[in-house]
Amino acid sequence: MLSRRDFLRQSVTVVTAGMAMPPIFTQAIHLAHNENLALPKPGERMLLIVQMAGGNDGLNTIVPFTDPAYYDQRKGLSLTEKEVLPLDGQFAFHPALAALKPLWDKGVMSVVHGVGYPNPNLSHFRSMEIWQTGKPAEPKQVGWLGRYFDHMTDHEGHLIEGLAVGATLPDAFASNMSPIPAVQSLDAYRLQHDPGDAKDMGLRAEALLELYHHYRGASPYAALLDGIAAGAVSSSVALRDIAAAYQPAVDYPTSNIAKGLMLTAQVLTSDLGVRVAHVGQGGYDTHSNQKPDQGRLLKELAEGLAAFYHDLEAHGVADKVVIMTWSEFGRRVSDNASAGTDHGTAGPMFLLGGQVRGGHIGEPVSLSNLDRGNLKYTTDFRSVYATVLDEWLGAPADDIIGTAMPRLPLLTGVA
Amino acid sequence: MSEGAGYWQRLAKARFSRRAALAFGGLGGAVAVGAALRLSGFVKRPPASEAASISVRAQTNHLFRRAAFGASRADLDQHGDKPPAAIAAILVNYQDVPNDALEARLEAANLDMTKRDALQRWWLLRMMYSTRPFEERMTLFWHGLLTTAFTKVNKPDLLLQQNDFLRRNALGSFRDILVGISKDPAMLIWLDGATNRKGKPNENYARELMELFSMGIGNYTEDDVREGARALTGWTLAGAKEGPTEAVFRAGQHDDGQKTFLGQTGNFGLEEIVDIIVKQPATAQYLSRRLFSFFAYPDPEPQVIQPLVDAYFASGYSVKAMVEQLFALPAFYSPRAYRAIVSSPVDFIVGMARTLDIETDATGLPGAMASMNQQLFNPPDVSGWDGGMTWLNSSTWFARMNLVNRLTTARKSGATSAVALDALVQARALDSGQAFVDYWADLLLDGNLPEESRAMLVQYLDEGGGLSKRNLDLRGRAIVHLMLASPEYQLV
Repeated sequence: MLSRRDFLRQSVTVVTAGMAMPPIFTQAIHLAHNENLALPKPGERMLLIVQMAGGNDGLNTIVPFTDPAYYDQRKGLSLTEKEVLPLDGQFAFHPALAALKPLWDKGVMSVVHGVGYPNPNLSHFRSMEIWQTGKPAEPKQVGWLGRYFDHMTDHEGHLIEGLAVGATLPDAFASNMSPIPAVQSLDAYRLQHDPGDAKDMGLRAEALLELYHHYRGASPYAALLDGIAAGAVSSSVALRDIAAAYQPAVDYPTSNIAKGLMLTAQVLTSDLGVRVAHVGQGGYDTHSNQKPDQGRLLKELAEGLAAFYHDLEAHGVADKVVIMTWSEFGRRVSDNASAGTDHGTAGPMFLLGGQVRGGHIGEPVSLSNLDRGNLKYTTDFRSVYATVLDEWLGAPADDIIGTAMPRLPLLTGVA
Repeated sequence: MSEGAGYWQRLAKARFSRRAALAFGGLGGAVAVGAALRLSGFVKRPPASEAASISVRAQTNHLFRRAAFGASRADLDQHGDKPPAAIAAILVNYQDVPNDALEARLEAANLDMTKRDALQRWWLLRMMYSTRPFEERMTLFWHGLLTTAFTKVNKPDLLLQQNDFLRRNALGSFRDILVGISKDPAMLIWLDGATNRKGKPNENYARELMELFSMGIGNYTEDDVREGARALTGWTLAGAKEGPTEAVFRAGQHDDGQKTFLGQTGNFGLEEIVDIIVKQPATAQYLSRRLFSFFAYPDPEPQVIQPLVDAYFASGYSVKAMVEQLFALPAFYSPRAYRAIVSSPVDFIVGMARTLDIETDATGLPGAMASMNQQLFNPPDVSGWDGGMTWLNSSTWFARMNLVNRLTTARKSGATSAVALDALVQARALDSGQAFVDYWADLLLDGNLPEESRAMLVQYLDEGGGLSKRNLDLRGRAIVHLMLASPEYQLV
């Protein structure tokens, strides 16, 4: 295993120049330093977060297809018993989730019912902040995974502890001291040289990082810019090395989410030491035209996740990865006049992985006891976070969440 | 590499000391990767009044960057001696400035305006070559506030129509802007107003009208959302068979019952709802904060934006009155505002084009912008672009660096061909590597290059062969590249 310093020494001259830690990081490290943590080894326990942005309609995802109240309140948009894929006598998958049905049957997928939080907020942006920070009362904080990274700073020299797939860094990864790379494609994730003067690349890159290192603007961005430049160059070197080693074991679909999942598999099957990855999918804000739109999105998600899981299995790491989905809220129980649904409250989360317990978790929501047309949540999302942090990632969950949340029986064979 | 031994020695020394620093770093030197830092808790900014002021030259460039996507050498030659307030007045009073060359250029570009990429190029070209750049800055502000996106709307003609509306009303009355955008066909699709009807309200537009377009979260209740949606019923789309094109009011679909909205009760419709909204102090504060944050710096204190709030009410909701106040505020020219905004991809690309007089038809630029996380006519969601650190992470940083590389190493077209470095050296009588570096630092960085960076760049240029024609084509280009890639240049 390469130490950080070995890594620096070996990775082209490009990496070193801007490498000194900006003071902002040093300061934070002292705050967060915790010698007493017993971390799982890198590569043994990995978490993939999948965001379903826009507010997925949970009722038409895990369908209570034998509950008359569902058909009473959902008119045009209800899914009939003939359409759905029953899991048992009470719940069924949306037909677009067919690709996940074999994994459910195999017992490596669970559905957490009725996930939400007290005093639900129906704004996309506020509710996303609440989910991404894990702080319903004071959501303007660093992200819940950012706090995890701050606690977990890797002692073993791994450069990349988290990975966000895409051009955006999710707010959940916002951190005080552990900036995480965002990667859209490995090909574009590197400095290109002057085609007229390729051999000058090393010197020019050194000069570039020197500019970042010397920048002392009054702007609050000065330290950040230095960190980005140094980190981008060093992580690009690390990622370049894994690109050649990976072969997908399955054919991934062509959707964007599937492409992102394939890049994630490439990273999680390498020895980079990534502990938490993030992939996002948008478009669930189905105020209108819900049936085709949600169906297409769920199909892309299900087929992408199934391919990803099989790829992990083939690489022998399906037991080392837990996949967790979330969406900022579910939708109103009654449909609206636009063949869609307005913003709502609680919704289901999925967990998937070789060590996931499988089956239904938590208490199903009631369709007769509503709060102004909205579902009352039964499971606090912070219990899901706390369980995963504590029992899967070995992190001090209560510190990170900021309160002791009850744990849920999500995982099997781990403690 | 044989050349540059001194440079290498110096770097080796620097590396040694940094490594020593890492050894004391506690955790073996956490390498900073990407950018996830939240600023508020750690960075203490001095209040504007306590910090030293910035030079008039820097103020001029700052104003051009914020109000006009940057100054070209010609802009500076023409206006550089005027006080910033006079320049601001010229930029804001654009209504009589002819724009014929731009229109001719757009005509000649012969863009297929049914294509998304063409629309994006069309607007980029407007921003790059308009003689009324502040008009485009304001249109961009409105597009980021009163958002609508190709995702879901997917009708280029309607998006263009909305863009024209925003441009024509860019400095008009906020009431007229809100009424107009509420009846705008693309908006009626984007936020489902077109299917919001009596007895079956769709809350989407009513919520975002208050949360994002006018008042901000926390200033209305869920009941206001439901009642507002009722009041907005009836506005829908009609038109040609192949697709809705025109907003119409259908009285039969309008809920004409009593509504209680923001504390007032009546048989309200769309215009009454907007009238109630624009009267709210929260609306004046929200719009002032958004304008100030777009042009000056994020998260201003309430007292800093109070002159904008006052101008809003005193002028009967005039946006022009607000921006005139804004460019007169000391806070706008303060050190706290200077280089305090992360350049958006639009700022970055259009700024390079204007400052360097780049000749382009914008081919390929929408794609380059997308990899930097911004697509015109297609913001990520109804809240627009978050800006700030969301523009900068490892991925978007590479996209910026590599676009600059493409521009500065394109030997037939691009930044350095546009400025013809050897001709420049002749014309400006640059007689040393230092003069060359200073020339570019002056144009691109307001002359604010740290001394050690300046020395490093001069050494890098000199050790490659100084101002020889061959070296100007190699490290001369690289100097321009490095300044456009520099941390300062990622901030506006």
